[in-house]
Amino acid sequence: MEDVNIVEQITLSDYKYGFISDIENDTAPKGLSEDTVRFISEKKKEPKFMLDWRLKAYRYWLKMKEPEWANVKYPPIDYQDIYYYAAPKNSSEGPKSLEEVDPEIRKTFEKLGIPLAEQQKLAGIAVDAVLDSVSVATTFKGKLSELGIIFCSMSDAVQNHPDLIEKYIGTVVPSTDNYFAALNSAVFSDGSFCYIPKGVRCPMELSTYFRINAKSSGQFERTLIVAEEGAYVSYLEGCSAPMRDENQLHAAVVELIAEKNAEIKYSTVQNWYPGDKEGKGGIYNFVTKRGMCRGDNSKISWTQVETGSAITWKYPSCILKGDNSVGEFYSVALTNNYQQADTGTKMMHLGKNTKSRIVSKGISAGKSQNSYRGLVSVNTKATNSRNYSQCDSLLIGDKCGAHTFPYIDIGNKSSVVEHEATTSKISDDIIFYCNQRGISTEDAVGLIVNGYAKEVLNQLPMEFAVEAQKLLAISLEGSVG
Amino acid sequence: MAGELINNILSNFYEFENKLNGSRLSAVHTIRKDALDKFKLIGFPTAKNEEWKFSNPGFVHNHNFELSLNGNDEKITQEIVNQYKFENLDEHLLVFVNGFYSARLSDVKPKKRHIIIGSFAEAIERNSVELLAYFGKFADYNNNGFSALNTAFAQDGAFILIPDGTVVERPIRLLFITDAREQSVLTMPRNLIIAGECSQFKIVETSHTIGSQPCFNNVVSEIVMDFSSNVEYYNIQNNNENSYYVGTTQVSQQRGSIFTGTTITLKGNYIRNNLNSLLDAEACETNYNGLYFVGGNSFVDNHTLIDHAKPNCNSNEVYKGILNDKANVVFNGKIIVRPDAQKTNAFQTNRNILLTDDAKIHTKPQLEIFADDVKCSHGATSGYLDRDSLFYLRSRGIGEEMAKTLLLNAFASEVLEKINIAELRDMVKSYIANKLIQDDVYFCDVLDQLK
Repeated sequence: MEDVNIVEQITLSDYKYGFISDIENDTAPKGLSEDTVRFISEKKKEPKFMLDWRLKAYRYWLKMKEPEWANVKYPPIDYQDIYYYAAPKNSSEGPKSLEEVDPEIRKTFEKLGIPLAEQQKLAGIAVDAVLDSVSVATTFKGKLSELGIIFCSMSDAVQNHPDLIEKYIGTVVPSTDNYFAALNSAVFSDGSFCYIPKGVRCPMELSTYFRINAKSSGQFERTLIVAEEGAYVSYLEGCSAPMRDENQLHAAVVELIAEKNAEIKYSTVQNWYPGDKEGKGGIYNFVTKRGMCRGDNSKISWTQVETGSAITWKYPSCILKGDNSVGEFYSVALTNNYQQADTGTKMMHLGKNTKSRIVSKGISAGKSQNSYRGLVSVNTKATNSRNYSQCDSLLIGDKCGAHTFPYIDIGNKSSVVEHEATTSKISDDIIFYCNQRGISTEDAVGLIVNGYAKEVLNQLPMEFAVEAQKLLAISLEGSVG
Repeated sequence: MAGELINNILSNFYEFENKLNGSRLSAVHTIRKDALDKFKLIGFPTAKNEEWKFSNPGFVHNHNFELSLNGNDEKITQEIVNQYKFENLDEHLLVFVNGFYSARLSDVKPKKRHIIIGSFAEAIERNSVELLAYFGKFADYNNNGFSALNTAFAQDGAFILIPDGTVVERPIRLLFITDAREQSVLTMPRNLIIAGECSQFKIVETSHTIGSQPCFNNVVSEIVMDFSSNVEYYNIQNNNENSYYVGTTQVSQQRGSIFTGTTITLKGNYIRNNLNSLLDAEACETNYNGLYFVGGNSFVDNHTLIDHAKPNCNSNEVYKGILNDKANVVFNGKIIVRPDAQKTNAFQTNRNILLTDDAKIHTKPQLEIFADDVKCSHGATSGYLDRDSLFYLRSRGIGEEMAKTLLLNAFASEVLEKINIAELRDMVKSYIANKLIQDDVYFCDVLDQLK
């Protein structure tokens, strides 16, 4: 019953993370040109290879066309009407300790529910807080560096570990991969970099919060995680953005690299501002996430809970290159009101005995459209591969849509691939059962949805699982009755 | 090359038009001209088109297909026709040579008055009201170049009209013979099948090529089903290695009608089946059964679309496949549940067994659902023969090859058992059983796996 109370509390609230913190910005002029790219690179004091890489991506991007195949509709984006760089002004010198962090920013995080001071004490989580493109606080650095783990912002990494960046950046998601990846490669402002050396098991869950703050600034984050042979890391990413009337573009790139026997677990709870009940405003979230199981016996696991953004367009994928490597994808995507989501995964089986598992739970309510789009491809050489996919859709209300577009390409005889999908609504019987026991219809729906998503929520680390449950309930507010 | 073929087609069309004389202004020809304009606009599909992503019909440009504008059945003897008949099957036989109806070779048994089992050309000639009402209304030619082309050249094919309350016991057989002994041929038969209220009948379509030149059959069938009618449509595809086939079957269903489409694909170079049903009224039922058992370099693409436009309809779809040698198979099953099509039940399965590492399967079971009170599911699997089952059989003294044949037969039988014409079922079953035994060499690889 405690859960129900939480749901009750939250359903009464509106989007509670919708606030704007008042911080001065050091902003690049609006619009995108080679000068913008140079400006960003210069601001970040990047070595030459990085600037060249960015320019190459930018020039390629100019030749590309915005893709149209996704099952989403939105007005055309004016790429010249976006600020590509916005950083909190007093960060130019970089804070060295928590006390140096801008009090405004600290307040922001407190409202978000992650006061840094407390977070530090909460053993097991190091927060690399990202507020508007520049990392402002990094904690637990010392403890991690003892083990040789590098966990820092992308801009620090470019300056301090250029060799690693040069070696790994763009190896999983090349700058020419797709329209939004190319755009990101050209103008990415910051992000996280994480390097786990050989044989090290990262003792804590690494966590980053991304936040879009300055008005009309697209956030172009780039995350790179490398797990060397035998390493293990669990990485959490949480998203929450203030309420806006204008649509904001978020085109991030995440690259994961797992060497031999390494394991990476990547979890996301995504709560971008989804727009109001009339479908006005909200974030466009066009993200390229891809992991490469480069070595034998490596494993990459994606877990995502999507409740936010007006339009979600992302496919966390695994390239299973090493023999016996494993890819997993667990997803809950919830859409309400006028939200649109086109999400899913790609599992590319290249090595022998590779295994993958896909569990996708879509929930659509209101007038939203929710699509699962996935690819399981088994190369001729990927003998004895195994895939199991399950994608279920739950429909709440008769104005929403649920779609599945699974592509399955099999190229050898010894692999076994299974795919199943179901679509259903919450049956009247179940609602009646709950009503009978004094649970209101709205609470009953919350209960059922949480039960339905449990298989995925179980994959999340504790703290996130609780937050995710609350989020599901908040997002469904007003969809029943 | 591409331009050349299209130029040929255009000059063919003007030649065809010139022959028409008086009927050039007819309603049918207006549709043809419209379809030709559409074809000029869209041309043949390419791999860039999502619907043709894996089934690039590049072959149309690689061969010099000659379109015949006149029927000529002189070179086809009764013996040739006889060899394509099913044993012991009492049927209404309609024979088409290069897409044109041959009255001489056909054998329509005595039937009740008002039943029409005849040719499309004849229906045009006598200005059939039904033909004018339905021709070109269902098979969409705006997005599909092949349908547009077929519509532009719609001259002959089958025209079947079963009036209200009539049950036709004998299966109606559409036998398409392509004479490719001298040159490569392009045929474009156009079929229109109209089922009156509460009528019931079965149709069996087969295509055969004689001669070794390449041939391309571009077939479009429209099936219009009235209240509570029941149509079973069988398409048995067992043509030679040089045959190319693109078939579009569009079914439009009215209240309470039941359509069962069975597609058995055994041989052919390139086969593309578009099977589409529009459930345009309540309480309709659609059943699709498919079996593809192909080897060699065959390419088979089954594209199905079940469009639930109205509430309270059911659909069931089962496609199974056994892939041998270098067979390349595509299955794309789309189910759309329109807004307000509540209480829809739609189920779909696609199961595949790959016997070699060179075979490839691309499957895409696709659901697009806009209504909430529905039960929809789909499943797709791909794998090899179950080791435990094989072991079970072998531990009981059944030889390896026999055990495999048994298992594959069992796998296929789910679809085969649904064939309601006993003679046809036996024919397909024995064909598959024979082929499995003949081809037992293929299974040695699988054996290695087990050791």
